[in-house]
Amino acid sequence: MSFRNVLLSASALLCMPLYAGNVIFDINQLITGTAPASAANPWLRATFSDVAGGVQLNLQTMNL
Amino acid sequence: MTNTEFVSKWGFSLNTLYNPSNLVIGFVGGAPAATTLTRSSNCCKLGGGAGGYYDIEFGFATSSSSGNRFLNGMTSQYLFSGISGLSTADFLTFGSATTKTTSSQLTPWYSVAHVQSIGQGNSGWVAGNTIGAPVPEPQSWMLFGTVAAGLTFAVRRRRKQTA
Repeated sequence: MSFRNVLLSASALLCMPLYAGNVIFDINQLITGTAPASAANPWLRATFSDVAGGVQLNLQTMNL
Repeated sequence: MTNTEFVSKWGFSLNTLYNPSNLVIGFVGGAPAATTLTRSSNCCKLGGGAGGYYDIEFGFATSSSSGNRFLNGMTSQYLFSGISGLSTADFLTFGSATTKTTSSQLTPWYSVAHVQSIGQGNSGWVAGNTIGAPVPEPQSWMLFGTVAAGLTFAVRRRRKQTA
């Protein structure tokens, strides 16, 4: 690979968003009705992650 | 832990700049997969009387005949695509209470879910918000480090060749 190609590849990579993040929602509060029996909290967790091609969501039941 | 409680609905909202109907939602893995997927602006009433309207609703089996229930200890994963520039930050959006009449019924939740089979057949709407702002992941720094190391190596190699 030539030096020029290395530079071009590196530039392309550096121009990509370096930010890859995740957002976590902990479901831990009762709005209405009966609360889940478990005293442990959160009951549920939703995790959004930036991935190639979009956003991935992981739904998880933690303490039901 | 009762092991009988299950999630029947789980909802989110999307940045109002985007049309939720354009979202492509694909099941990635885990178990169970949602039996219904609904997405359009304020499509979905979640949270009971004190709840609000959300843009995306995952519906899960409520009886064994309609599929596997979403029980404790399970995960269910999806990929959102179809909207250019979509990021995790676009899901930091509260449910809408536009059709409600009093301020006490505003819905300051990012996510709401319905849990059923609690105790003697009861149910409850539960909700929550983020526990942290989006943070850079390690692979971002690894990528940056790899590029920097590669550039350094290439420059040194070139200098040796020209010397």
